Amino acid sequence: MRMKDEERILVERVLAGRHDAFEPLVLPYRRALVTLAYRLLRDWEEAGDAAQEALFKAYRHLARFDTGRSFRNWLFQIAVNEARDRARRRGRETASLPELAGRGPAGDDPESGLRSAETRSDLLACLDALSPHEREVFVLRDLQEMNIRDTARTLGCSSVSVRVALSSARRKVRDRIRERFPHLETE
Amino acid sequence: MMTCRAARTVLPLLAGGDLPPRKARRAERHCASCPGCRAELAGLRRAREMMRAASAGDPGRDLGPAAWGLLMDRIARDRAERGPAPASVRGLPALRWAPAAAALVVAIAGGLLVQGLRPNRPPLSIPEGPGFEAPLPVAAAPQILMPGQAPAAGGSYARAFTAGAPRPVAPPAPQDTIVVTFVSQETGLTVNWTFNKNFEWKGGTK
Repeated sequence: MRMKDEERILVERVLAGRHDAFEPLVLPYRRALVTLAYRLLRDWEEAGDAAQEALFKAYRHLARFDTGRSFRNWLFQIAVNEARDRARRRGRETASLPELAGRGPAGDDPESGLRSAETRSDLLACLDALSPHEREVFVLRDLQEMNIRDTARTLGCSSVSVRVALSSARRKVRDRIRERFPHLETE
Repeated sequence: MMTCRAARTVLPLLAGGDLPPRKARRAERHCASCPGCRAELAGLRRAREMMRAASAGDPGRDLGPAAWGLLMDRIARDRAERGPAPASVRGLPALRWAPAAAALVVAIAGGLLVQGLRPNRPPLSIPEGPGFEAPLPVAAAPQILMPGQAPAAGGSYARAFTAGAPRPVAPPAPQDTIVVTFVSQETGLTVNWTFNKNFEWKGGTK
């Protein structure tokens, strides 16, 4: 995915010293950045901090951005690195979220279950079954709908590594859903 | 025909459309005739769809006005401290490498000087004669070998004379001066720096 023309113009404006052009440049991705950081960190407050830091770094290093690339993917790359650093610093990589453990099925009707915000959140907590790398791959490929090549580039690894992690992640997510939500998994 | 074992390894990628078309067709053909693998594939697809639906249905959160304001303040402060450009290096991308290139040139020049001024250097002249093999210096202290003499362990020559008329290697000549020459590949400009054995600058020529 290449950069859009309007984004290129905004980048040039920011580089020319008009930092008011930065807001319209990043606004379309701001919410996605916070949400991406949340999927990786499972903490909204920390996700907000990570997104803020990622945006600051994006501003500071905008001159290094290769305009042949997708601006969104570049921002995501910075956000993933930031979230990864924070997770590492705070030792959250091995932490598990216990909130699902004591919670029973959300309801008997799968569709009503999926409509419930609580169940959506619980479903997404199945990501905790994944290793940090698997989680990054799964979030970027399956939830953010990046292709394999862009996912690999964003994470700084090979496409083969992405495929291997993705296979494992999909299996683990399926197993976790089966375990926690048998009423949802079987239609 | 794909076996169940082979199919199971690729089903997670097939579930997300991440297999090359040919491999995907083979896996799908297998699933069409294998209820177990078909159920496995359906389970993987269903789980993936549920996660995607949960993610898409979750509106997420944006940075609040306060957080955005803080970010803009930070950017403004950074801009005031570093000047109008948002990055540390603007302009020609090649200039980013200039400091590293300069350091490399200094390191190479320093290495040449130290190498050139090292005492007891082996002679630079290569003796002539049949069967002579050029000595290969290694990192230990220099050692002059006579014909037929085996190199000592850790000696400075990997090879010595192997055959032919005996011809002693000349003793090392004292190295009084060292000249370092820099040649620009772009302009052809040549600069010579001359030092004496005490590393004292003796002049330079162009």
